[in-house]
Amino acid sequence: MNLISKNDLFDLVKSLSKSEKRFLKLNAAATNLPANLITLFNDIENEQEFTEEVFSKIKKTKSQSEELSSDSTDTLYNFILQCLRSFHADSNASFIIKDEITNILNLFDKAQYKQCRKILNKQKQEAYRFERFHFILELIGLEKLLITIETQFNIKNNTIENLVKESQDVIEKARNMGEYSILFSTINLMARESTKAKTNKELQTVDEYLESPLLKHHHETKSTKALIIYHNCRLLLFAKKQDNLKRNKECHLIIDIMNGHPEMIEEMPKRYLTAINNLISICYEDKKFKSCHAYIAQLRSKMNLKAFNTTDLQLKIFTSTFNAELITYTDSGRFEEATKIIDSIEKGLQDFKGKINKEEVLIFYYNIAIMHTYAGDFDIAFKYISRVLSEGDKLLRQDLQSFARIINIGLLYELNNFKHLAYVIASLKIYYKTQTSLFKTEKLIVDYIEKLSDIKINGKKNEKEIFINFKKELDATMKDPHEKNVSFYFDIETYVESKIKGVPMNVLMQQKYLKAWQN
Amino acid sequence: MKPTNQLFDLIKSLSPEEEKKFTLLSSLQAGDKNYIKLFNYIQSQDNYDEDAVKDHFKKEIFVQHFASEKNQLLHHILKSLRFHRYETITSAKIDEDIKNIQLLFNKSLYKQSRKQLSVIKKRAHDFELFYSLLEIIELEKVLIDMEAHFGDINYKTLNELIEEENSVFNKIENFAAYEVQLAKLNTVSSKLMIARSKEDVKEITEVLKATKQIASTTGLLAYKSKIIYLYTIGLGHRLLNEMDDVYKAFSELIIHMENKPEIISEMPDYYIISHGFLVRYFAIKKQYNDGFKMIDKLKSLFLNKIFNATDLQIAIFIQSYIAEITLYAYIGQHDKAKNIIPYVIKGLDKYEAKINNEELVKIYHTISMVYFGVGEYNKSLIWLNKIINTNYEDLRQDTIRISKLINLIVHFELGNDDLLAYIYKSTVRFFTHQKKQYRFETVFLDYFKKIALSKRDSKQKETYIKFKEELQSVFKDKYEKNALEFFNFYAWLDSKIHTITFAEAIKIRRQNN
Repeated sequence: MNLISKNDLFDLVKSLSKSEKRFLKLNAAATNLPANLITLFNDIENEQEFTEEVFSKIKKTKSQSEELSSDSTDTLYNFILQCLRSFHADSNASFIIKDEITNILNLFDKAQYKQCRKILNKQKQEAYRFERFHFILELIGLEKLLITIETQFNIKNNTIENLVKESQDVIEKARNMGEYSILFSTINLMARESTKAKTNKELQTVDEYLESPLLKHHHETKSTKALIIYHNCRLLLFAKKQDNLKRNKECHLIIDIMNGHPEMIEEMPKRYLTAINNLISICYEDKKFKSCHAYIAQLRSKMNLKAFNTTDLQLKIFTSTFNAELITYTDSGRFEEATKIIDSIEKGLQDFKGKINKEEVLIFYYNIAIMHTYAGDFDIAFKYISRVLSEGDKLLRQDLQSFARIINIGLLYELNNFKHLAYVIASLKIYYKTQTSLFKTEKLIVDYIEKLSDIKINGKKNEKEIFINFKKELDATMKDPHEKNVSFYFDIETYVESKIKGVPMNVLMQQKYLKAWQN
Repeated sequence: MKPTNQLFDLIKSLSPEEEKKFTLLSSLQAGDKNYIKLFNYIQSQDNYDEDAVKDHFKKEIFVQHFASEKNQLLHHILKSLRFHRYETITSAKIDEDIKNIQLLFNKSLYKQSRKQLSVIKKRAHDFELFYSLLEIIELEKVLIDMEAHFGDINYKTLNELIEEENSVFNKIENFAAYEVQLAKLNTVSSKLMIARSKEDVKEITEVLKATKQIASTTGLLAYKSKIIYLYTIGLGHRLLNEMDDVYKAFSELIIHMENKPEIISEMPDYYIISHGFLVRYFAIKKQYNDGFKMIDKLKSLFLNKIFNATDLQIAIFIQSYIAEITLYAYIGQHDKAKNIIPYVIKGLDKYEAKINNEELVKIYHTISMVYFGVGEYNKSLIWLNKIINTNYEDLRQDTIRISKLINLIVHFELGNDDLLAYIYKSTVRFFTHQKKQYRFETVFLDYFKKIALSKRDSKQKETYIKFKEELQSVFKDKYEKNALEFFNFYAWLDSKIHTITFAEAIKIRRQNN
């Protein structure tokens, strides 16, 4: 089976930056890359969407067999990767250390032991600085070989025993970091299912993690990297627990540690961005839109820095900043500004198609749907909420998907699509039976929409009365602090109020969050 | 060595393929390149002469920043060597491919990144590239976090990954445990070829015991561990002169490696040296044909691209040519051994600075003994002096001590009677200052004084006979007897007693024993 598909090649070509393409073309010319491969590259570059025709074109012109064509795909794909390795050779710390390790091996093979020692000492220092444990272990492995030779030359730089002790030390640190990484991954997976705890049981799980020996305090961390991951774990847990005060503290600790060790920003850029991104989230959750926009600017300012100059990080900055802008404008009823943001988001989604992760896409669609719902553009909102429901994965962001179902029935109600609504409510009730983690408000909304649709179907006119009752029950439910979190997904209180008062949501929201722009 | 010489040595060490790669990569850059000019000129020199280089380029501007130009050249050579390595050595190719995982990840092409990762990981497993595996696992952790954002949430993979990482750490630690034991034996073997005292035996036996203990408690967690374990066991028995166990360990090691060729490319030096040990076993067991076959096998490795590196070529050179000379000398065919010396000298011209002192002492001693065997004592003396006149500190004390004694014999054979008295005194002084005294050395010095420094008379033959009897008595102690590994004192005394050549005496002794 061929490892590289035509689609892979297409995506890789499309992912190249201008300067990477320039470098690649120079190399292609200098290494006499076959003309048909250069043509194939140019053809792919000119295509907007993947089509088989680009590949069959080259086959026709060169009368190649199918095998040869797949060889061409492989050859071009590998050539591009080779060029990318050269292009990024000096900009990636791990590539630099790796190349130097290869230099050591080459010099060792050439019996240039003194030069080997010189490079080895320097690279070991670098590997320690970047806490690249596997590289340190590899360098220690090389040093053992070197020591064996040096002993025979009567040169004493170190002993095998010392090196074994050193490698045990490094393994201990690496193991410790591994434990934290896995812990982080587990917590991250939990957070990907749902970012906020909805039940006491979920809260209890979060507390158990926070009280676990590795996360209770930082004494168990054995390296700066482990310390950063430790704070990142706690950050996720406090986010899930909705303790924004402690979450805020963890964010600042991560940023401070990394600012104090700039090499760690290079090593773990995503964690640095996550910390700023969380500060943004905290601000809009706490309705401090002014501060939120200051953090958005801070995050965007990182875009041009070397450490963040990869597609995945640029994407992260794109999604975080635009989502935050959209939410703040939506929540404060500034729909004109929000609409402009949506245009940029749509363009970005198109540019980054296939690279942007499902979670971010879901969040974008969800937030756009909410904005249009608040603005009263129910048709457009329905289009986006349908996308959330069709794109969704069973496990991913169950919280968001659960709310998308509620927004869906709300929109069907607003669009007077009662036939479909009855069916959706019925299936939603079945779905709820299987769910253990739900807000009480979610069920309340479904019950009331069902009531509201009944009266509309039966032509009765007491809709306002139902909304008043809805508000009473809603107020009672909202006394539970967990239930307040519903507003992060949909401002049901303002929606009900607008229905009772007959005032558009944007007017109410502008009033409600007027002060948010002062903080 | 000056840094400038390092550049010269590096240029001179390039193989034609490496040079071709350097030229090709240089051609990727447009325009006139000073470092190419510098490369070509340095390459044309026989010995590095920086003044001549500067003088040659005196009209060029770059000579004003000569050091940076040399650095530039070094950088380009190292770069081309890296490319050459990626294309020729699998482990280097795997390491380079790991970069692809990272590059594809950075471009948010996560599915492609995962595809590459799966393939590369399997290959890294096959080659037991522990450090590469750790790097891959590290990347996989980040990939899993990212895949979770894409809805691919998999707790099972996560647990498997932590288990996998721990297993790699365990393998590294397991391998390192054997490395420590091997290092202890290497320290012993850098001083001694064979145990010469009960203390030596105790030290070696303890290492062997500890090695076996590790194997029985923690096991042999990787193929590489198995190789280093067998090597340690083999070397330990070699030092104890327990040749059957030597054969068992090293032949098993070679079979294991040949059954998993990936490991040969990972631990080529173990493979080469093991063959060298087996040659000695065959010599002692009088399986000379097997010994020569083994030498041929070793020489064939010269052309195998796995063993292309200079240090491995040196190892093959030492193990094959020196083993061949030793084998011929062992069976008394010193003439044939002498025919090989020009090849060894050619090899020394090429590699001498890169061969370690331990091996050098061994080579000098071997050559000296061949010349002694054919009666070319002056030449023998030249090579002996290389051992005696250099301060090797702790290295190969056994060879150095014996060489001091052989030195007396060579001067005696040369009839340097005037000088002999002085050398004898200095030799006695040398042995008096040694921490440990061997009975054999005392007996030798006593009898040598009677033979060489007393007046040569008709009773001298009787002295030789008494000398031999005394040696036979001393050599009943198996540790003292190990001195015979370096020089056949019996054969020398036989040659004197029966008025035959040293080589003939050896042949007779081999036939009779």
